Amino acid sequence: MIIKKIAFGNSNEAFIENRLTNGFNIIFSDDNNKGKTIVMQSALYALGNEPIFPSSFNFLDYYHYAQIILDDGTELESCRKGNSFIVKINDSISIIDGVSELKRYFTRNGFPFPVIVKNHAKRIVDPVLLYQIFFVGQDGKNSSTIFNDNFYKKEDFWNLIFALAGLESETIDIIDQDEIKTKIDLLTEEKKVLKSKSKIYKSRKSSSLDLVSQQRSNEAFESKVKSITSLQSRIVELTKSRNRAASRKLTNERTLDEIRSLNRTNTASSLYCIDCGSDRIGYRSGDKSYTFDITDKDMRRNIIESIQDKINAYDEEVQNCNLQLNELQRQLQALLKEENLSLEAVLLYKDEIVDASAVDTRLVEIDSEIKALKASLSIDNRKSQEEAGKREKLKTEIVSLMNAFYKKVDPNGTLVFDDLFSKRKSVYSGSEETEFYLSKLYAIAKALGHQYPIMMDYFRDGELSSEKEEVVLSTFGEFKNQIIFTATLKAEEMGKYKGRKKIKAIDYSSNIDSHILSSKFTKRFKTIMRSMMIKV
Amino acid sequence: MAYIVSSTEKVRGKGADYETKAMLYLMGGREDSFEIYSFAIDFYNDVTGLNVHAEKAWDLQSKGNVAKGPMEIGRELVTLFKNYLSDLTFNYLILFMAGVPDTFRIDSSINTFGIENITEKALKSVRNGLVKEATDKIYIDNDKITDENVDAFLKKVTFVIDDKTKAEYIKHILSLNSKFIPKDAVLEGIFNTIRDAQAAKKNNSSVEGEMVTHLRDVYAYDRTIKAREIRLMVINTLVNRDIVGVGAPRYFFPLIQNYDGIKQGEVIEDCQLQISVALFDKANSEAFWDLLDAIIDAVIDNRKLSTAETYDMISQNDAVRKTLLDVLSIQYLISVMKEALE
Repeated sequence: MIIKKIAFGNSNEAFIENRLTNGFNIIFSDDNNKGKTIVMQSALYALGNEPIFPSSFNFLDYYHYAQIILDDGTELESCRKGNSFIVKINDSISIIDGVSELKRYFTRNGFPFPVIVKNHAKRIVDPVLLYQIFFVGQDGKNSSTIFNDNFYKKEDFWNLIFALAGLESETIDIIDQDEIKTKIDLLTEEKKVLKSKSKIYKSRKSSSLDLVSQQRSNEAFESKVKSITSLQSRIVELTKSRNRAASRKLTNERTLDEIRSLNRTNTASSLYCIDCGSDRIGYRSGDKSYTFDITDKDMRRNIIESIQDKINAYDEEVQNCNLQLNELQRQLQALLKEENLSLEAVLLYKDEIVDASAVDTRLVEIDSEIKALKASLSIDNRKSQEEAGKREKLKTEIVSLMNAFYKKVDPNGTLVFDDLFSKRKSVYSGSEETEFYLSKLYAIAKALGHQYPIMMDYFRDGELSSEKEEVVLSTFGEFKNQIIFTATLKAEEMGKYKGRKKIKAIDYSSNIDSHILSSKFTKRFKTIMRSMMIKV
Repeated sequence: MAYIVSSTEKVRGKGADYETKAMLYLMGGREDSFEIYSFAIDFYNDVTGLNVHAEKAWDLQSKGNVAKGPMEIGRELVTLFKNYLSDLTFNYLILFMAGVPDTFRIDSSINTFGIENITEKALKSVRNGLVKEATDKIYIDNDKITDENVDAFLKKVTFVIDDKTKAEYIKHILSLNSKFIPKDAVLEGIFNTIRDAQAAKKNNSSVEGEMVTHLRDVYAYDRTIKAREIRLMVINTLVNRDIVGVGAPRYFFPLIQNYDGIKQGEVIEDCQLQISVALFDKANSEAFWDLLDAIIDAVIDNRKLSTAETYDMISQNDAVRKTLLDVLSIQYLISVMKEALE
């Protein structure tokens, strides 16, 4: 995969980066705040990543666009605003709603996303996890875990590496089916009891809303109310998108049912007499003026699979929304709970809320437990010794590659890595952190031999010395992959990458401080957007 | 005098592949292919191409195995010779072969040729083989087997050597946007569909001994396939095989500009689902073929028109009125075809 072009902007201002080569690129500038991070984040954001943009950049206001070349030479363009994507492959344009659908669409069209076992069920990994294989951002670093460690954890990152190497995921427990079934029964029972007993639960919503409005006059509550309102509007938004996904899922399911019922031959045939009066009876297939059926077996299978695919994507979208909704609701309840109110009446409500929240939490827990248990029943849980051995071997290989790279860069360094992550208590920082991330990028690329571009924002973070930098540049230069690094140079270093044969140096110094977007790109940006059928 | 249908065949097998290749050769391999409107299957000969009013005929005999010698090739010419001598006029006489012996041609790089490219020695054997076979057959009047007739006949015959794979024949019958050209396995599947339809025509009531006076009389028997319906089937299979999986054609977007982004996606999905249902709906398959036919016609004849304008052109057409698809779905289908045929 090669990144050809990156663009973002709106009708007033935009930026386009089209100078990237297939080899080693370094984007540099004489100062910070020249937009290097935004360019790196925007490219992967356009491809479905969860971004870590600088807080001053309001990324939701802009369209983000990336043009990439896939391993088979196909050109893919993706444009994103919020959670809507428009993807163009071979001149055909798809509107894609949400990351779950996007990764499936990519997988079908020559940009495969691996499958790992997560929460006992098979799952196509999301861009946020996959892109960490080859990309290290500037912010949000924590050597003890992955970037954005909300849904995915570091075990999942390992499983992703195994999947890329063609190995099965590592699953921890061996599951006894009967035991699970009993557990599900027990949980379902508990859920019933909780639901029927808890009348408070049912009245919760209206009372908590009342509570908020009653406090509107009180200035002390202003900020609280604000955050409650914002939480609620996010909840409403999420509920909307969840309901929409659910209804689309239903539409697709209905169509599938309809299609299956139609898939019968019912063309009438007739017996007829060839020679009137004679006993010769011929057979002719129903009197149709067209010889062929509209679909053949292959075509029918294709269509059914595609629809099934969509149903799975919507289903995952519903689940994702639910996960986020649960989290937001927990936050909302926490906010309401911590408020110590003086009014008696409100106190009364508060008790209700607290009670209800306990019931609510438990119900959510039960739901997700049941779901996980049910899913675990359906996966094939053979855990062969052989696979485990291969995984262990790959692990050892990656870790020793990391250590070898680290020793090469920093012969006097004292770190010894034993995993792709540091211990929770000893998080690396400064140049150690940079060396750690470089080692990781190197080891993964070397061990897997992957085709993704290797990207690191601010690869000299923590004052990586010039000698070390040379080693890094020459070692990464050995890869055939596209490489995109960024760096901020000191005044005396300016021009240091110029004249290097292997490196394409892209200078951002002339960009306006803290404002990479400019009106001079808007015309070209609009042209790009038009080709994606977007009217900016 | 009447023409008597004779020497129709019942044997199947590998030969059937070659008969289909032969038909597809007529359909897309000749400069005058566009004139051919329909094919008579195993009636006058293995395949006979007819123009729109059945006033012009391309008569073809196919030979599925490589001839061991020129004599054998001569014998294969007998049905063409019979038609040449008949009262009906066959404008082109074609022998379609899997291959020929090495010494047969003068210039071995030419795969479509007349007797001028056959070595003298081989031609002699061809002639002998033909005369011997013709004399043996009871459906040829021995009085007509004169040197004059045989020579004039041989001058008229075109020899064609099969030089393409099944998939290539399918690709040659229409020019389609390359993104709709799938892997060869899919194309072979389409080839087989055509072959089976062609073979099924042979299984229809026996025509041996039937008497006809015009070329067009073949239409009284269920033994013809229209070039158009083959083309339609191929386009439909190639273009609509992944109707749900792929993105929307760019010609469709101007129609849904007034919807917001999320709604656009839903509209597109609804269209795709509706078309899927129509594709599965065997009871209304004829309505779908009619619609597709009308759309493809309108698209090819009016490439400059937008999707909406193309729709306006055919909106009064019966095909549009009979279909269960709604306006946007039909417009979606028009957009897909516009993209496929550009």
